[in-house]
Amino acid sequence: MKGAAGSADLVPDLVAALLEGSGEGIVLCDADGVVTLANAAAARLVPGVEPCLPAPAPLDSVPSAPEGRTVIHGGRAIRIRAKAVSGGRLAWYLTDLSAARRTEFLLEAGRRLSASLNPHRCARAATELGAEFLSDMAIVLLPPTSRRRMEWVRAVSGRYGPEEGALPAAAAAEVPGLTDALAGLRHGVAGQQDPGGAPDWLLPEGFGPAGHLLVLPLPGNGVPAGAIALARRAGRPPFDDDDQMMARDLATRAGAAISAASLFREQSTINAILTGDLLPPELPEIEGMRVAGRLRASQQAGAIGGDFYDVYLPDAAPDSGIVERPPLVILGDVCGKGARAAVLAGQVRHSLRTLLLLESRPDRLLELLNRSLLASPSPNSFVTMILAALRTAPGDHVLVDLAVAGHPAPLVLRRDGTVEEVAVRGSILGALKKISLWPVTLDLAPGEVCLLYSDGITEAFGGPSGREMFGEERLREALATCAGMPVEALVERLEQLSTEWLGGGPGGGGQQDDRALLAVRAGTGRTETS
Amino acid sequence: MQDTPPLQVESLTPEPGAARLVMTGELDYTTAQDASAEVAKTLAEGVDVLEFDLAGLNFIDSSGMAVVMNAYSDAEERGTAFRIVALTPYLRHLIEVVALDDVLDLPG
Repeated sequence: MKGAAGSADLVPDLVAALLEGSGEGIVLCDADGVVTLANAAAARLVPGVEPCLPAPAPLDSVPSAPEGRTVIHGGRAIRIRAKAVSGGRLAWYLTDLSAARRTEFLLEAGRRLSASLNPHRCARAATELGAEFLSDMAIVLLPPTSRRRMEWVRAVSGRYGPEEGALPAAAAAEVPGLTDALAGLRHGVAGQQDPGGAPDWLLPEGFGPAGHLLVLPLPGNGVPAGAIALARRAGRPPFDDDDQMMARDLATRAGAAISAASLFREQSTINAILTGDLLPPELPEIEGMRVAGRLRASQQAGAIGGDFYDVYLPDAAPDSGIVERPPLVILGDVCGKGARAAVLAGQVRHSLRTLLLLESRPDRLLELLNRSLLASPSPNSFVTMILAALRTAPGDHVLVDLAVAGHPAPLVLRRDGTVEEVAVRGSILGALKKISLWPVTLDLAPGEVCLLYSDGITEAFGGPSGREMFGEERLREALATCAGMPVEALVERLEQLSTEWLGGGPGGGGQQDDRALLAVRAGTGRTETS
Repeated sequence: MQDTPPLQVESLTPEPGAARLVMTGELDYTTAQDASAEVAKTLAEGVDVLEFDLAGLNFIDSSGMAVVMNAYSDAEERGTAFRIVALTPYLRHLIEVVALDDVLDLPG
């Protein structure tokens, strides 16, 4: 090993150690042009430089000037600055511009690849970085989808904006090394491939023949995130060690970014599917009455709430063993928020649909649901709900068989505008082995309304101070003003009043919970007086 | 901005063999897990009586109610007596709505 060791007699040990540690190459020669000192960085950048020998090329050709000169030596761009020092001696300072390029590349890669949570945008950023820093063309191929297609994004140096497209997944086999790369394996020496083997679709139109081709996997989170191919035109220098290292950096970072973005997208999709399970159904026409509902989900991100309602019409063709029953409406609230709440709400709705094939009494249905929730392995499987079986009776009356489990009791709007709370209550589901239920049957005269609601309505914080709860009293007063209204207008008005209450405060309704309303009005709207 | 955590849980020993958790602040979706952990820790210490003082709660949601209900059933399973020694009128109303007032030991 040469370097500063050869100059130990000239400088003290400490100075020798300092010079040796410098990232910049430093070479000193005497008045005769013979090297007296060269540190490790200098020996690495210009391998021929050795003490006691004349300064080799390209040092000898660099004039003494403050701005220095950039030379290509051994495949590297090196900026060399010569400076006269005392006694006719000359010093050279060597800066590795390739290393500077790598630093700049790493900074840019970090900045651009972290800017998006969209897998396509990450792929675009990766191709732009590849085409800007490493090659004449860069193409990212995303893993094949279920439809056996693979999407690609391609950028070309000096052209504005990447192009995108999709190909049959089988086309991957046409590019040497690509099938392996898409499977997460690097093929060939450092991913270098025969450029002559590249199919036409890999290169952009008018690009000309490729001289050098690198194909690398994009390592993802457990599963490969795709592959990247980098090409240089024929006649351009091959990918050297530094280029290959940068290409691997690019692949690693792009893979991590694309895989994180894909996970995020998947999560959003799952959330959307789960929320879909909470979405209220289209309310069907039920003979002899009108039903209307409203569900406003919480606006908080990532906080899918647990309010739901549903209508279960009798089986169209009851078979032997399937019980005959009137239509049933339900409104409920599951404990907690987020995906877990959505799953629980879905389970409750589907369990109920199954139980209804065999059981029709609301209180019995709640007992069965409670048992199934207690047996549930997931924690906090608590549900509050109201079941209301709707039977038509002579004179356009509707008899509502109500069973309530841990839920605020329904309100009734009578024909004269008075509002009553129905005297019905029962235990929350999922908490106790033996629940207590006090079901009742409610008689609605034509035009009278039974309103089911979730606590998000009464517990809406807002009002003039922004900190006051809407409360049951305000809800009753609001309902009393709705006498004679069609049921659709009634739920709309109540929802609007609650929204205004939320919006009034300084919080602007930011803290709001889900709010659900479901109203049943006896009669079809023509025969009753109001 | 808030300096204090949204929920504070203080553990007291009102008499030997008893533990009282005094909860102050908001017992909701965001704090329920911390509260549950505190309950589990207390029950694991093998007390005969677990008490909740909930008079200092200014907010509780369904996840918060779940903490109370889980404490009740976990205590029952271990043969530990569970009672609520103090609560707000609103919380009492909620407990009545979910019809747990005949099951839970509430102050008179």
